[in-house]
Amino acid sequence: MRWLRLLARAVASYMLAVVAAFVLFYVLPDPAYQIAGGVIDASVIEKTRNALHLNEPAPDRLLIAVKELWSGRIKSFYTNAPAYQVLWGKTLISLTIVGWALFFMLALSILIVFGAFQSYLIQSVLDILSLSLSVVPVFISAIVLLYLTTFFPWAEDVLAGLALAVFPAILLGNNLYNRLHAARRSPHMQAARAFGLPRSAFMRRYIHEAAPSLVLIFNALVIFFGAGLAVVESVFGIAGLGRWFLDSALRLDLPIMFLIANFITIVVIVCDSINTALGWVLDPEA
Amino acid sequence: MVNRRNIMLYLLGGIILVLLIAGLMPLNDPLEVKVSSSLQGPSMLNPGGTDRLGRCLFSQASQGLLWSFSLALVAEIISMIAGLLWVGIIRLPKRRFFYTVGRIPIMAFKALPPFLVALSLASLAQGKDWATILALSLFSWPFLSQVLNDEFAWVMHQPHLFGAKTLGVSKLYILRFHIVPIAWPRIVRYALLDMVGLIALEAVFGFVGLSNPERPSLGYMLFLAKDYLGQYPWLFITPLSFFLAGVLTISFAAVILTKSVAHRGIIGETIT
Repeated sequence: MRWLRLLARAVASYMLAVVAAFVLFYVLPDPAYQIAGGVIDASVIEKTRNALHLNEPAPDRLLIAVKELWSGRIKSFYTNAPAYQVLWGKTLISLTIVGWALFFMLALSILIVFGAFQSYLIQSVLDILSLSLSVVPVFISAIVLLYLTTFFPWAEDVLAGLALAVFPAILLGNNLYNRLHAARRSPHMQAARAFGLPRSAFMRRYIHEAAPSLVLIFNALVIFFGAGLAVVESVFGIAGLGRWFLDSALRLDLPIMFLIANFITIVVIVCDSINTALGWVLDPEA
Repeated sequence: MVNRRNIMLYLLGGIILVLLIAGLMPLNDPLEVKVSSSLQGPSMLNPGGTDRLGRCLFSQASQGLLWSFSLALVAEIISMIAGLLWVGIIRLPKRRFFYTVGRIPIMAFKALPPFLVALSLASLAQGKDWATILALSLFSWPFLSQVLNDEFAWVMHQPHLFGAKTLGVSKLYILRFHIVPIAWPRIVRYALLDMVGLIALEAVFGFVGLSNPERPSLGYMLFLAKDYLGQYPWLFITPLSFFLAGVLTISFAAVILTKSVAHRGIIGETIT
C-alpha cells in the first residue's frame, strides 16, 4: 500500500509542479513586456504575445504548454531550434559532472570517516569544518579550483565535479562518522563483540546504521546539485544543463526555462521516490 | 543571571552591531571611481585594495555584506510569517480537508527545485530588490513551513499538554506558556541557519549577474575576481573575508544558541 501511495504522491507532485512552473513563467509576469522591454512599440509586444500564446485564456495556455512539452515540439524562443535535441546533449555533459561529483564525494567522505576514527585532531577539525564550511556556496570552491587549473591542468568536468563535491563530502563524512561512532558504542554492538560475532555481522549493522545518513544526504544533494551545476558550469565555461538554464533565465527564454524546470522536477521526484524507497529497505527503523 | 532570552538578545545584538559597524563605518565611498589608483593592493588608505576602476574594495564588501544581510533578514521574516500563517491555516480548523489542501503548495514547491524558482523570479524582475527578497522567501518558505509544522506537531504531543488540557487550562495560556517557550529555540536556531543559506543564495544571485546593479554585491565582486586570483588576489580575498565573517558569525550564533539551550534539556537532538 505504501508503494502505491509513493507513486500517487510522485504523480501528484509532478502535476502540481507543472502548474506552479506554468504560473511562474507564463502567468505571473508579462513575459512579452519583459522580453521586448519597456521602450519597444506595441506591435512588437503584440507579436511576442502571439508567439507565446499569451492572448489565450490561462487554462488553454497551460494545455498548449504541456502538449508542446510532451510532444517534443517545444522550441527556443530565441533560436527557434527544437529544444529536446539540445536537452539530451547537455544532460549528458551535466551527468558527467554529477558522476565525478558523486565519485569525489564518496571518496572524500570515506577518507574523512577513516581519518576521524584514527585521530582525535581530525575529528575536531571535522566538527569545526562541518559547522563552518558547509555554509560556503559552491562558487567559492569553484573559483579556487579554477585558479588551481593554472598549475594542474586537469579536465574541466573533473574539477567541476570536485568543486561540487567538497562541501557535501564534509557534511556526509561528519554525519557518517557520528552515526558509526554512536553505533560502535551502542550496547547491542558491545554485546555482539563480547559474544565474538564475525566481522561480517558488524559490517551489515554498520551499513544499516549508515543508510539513513546516506539517504538524508542524497536527498539534499539532488537540490544542491541542481543549484550547484548552474554555478560550476558557469565558472568553468562548460555548456551543460545548468548553464543552459542560467543563460535562458538571463535572456528570458521562457519555453526553455519551462522545459528544464519540468525535466529537473521529474529528476527530483524520481530521486526523491528512490530515496524514500531505499530508506524503507535499508533503514531498520523505517 | 544569564537566561535564554538574554543569550539570544546578546547574540542578535552582537550580529547586528558587527554588521552595522561593517556597513556604517565612515569608509570611502564604495562607488567612487578613481582610475589613477586602480588595482592597488591593500594599504592604510584602502585596507582591502582597489578594483579596476580604483574603487575601495573594503567599502564595497562591507556595504555588500550589509545589503545581503538586510535582504536575507527581510526574506526570513516574510518566510517565517508566511510559515506561521500556513501552520495556522492547516492546524487550527482541525479538519483533514484544510491539512490536505494546505500541503499542495508545499508539495509543488518541493518538487519544483526552489533554486530554479528563485533564479527565475530574480531574472524576471531583473535584479530588483523586492524580487530578490521574494525569491529568497520562496526559496526558504517550503522548508521553514515544514519545520514549523513538525515543531508544533511535536510540542502538541507532549504529555504535559494533555495534562494542561485535561485541567481545563485556556488555549491562549497553553500557547503562551507551554508551546512557544519550548518551540522557539529550535525554530530560531533553524531560522538562523536558514538565513545563512539565504545570504549565500543572495551571493549566488550576484555571482550570476542577477543582483541590483545600483549597489555593491559580494557575489558580483567574487565573479569579477574569478579570473584574476593569481595576479590580484585581494580582488577575491576581500569580498570572501567579509562573506565568511558574515555567514560564520550567524552560523556560530545558531550553534551557541543550540548549545546554550541544549544543556537545559530543551534541544536534545543534533543538527542534521
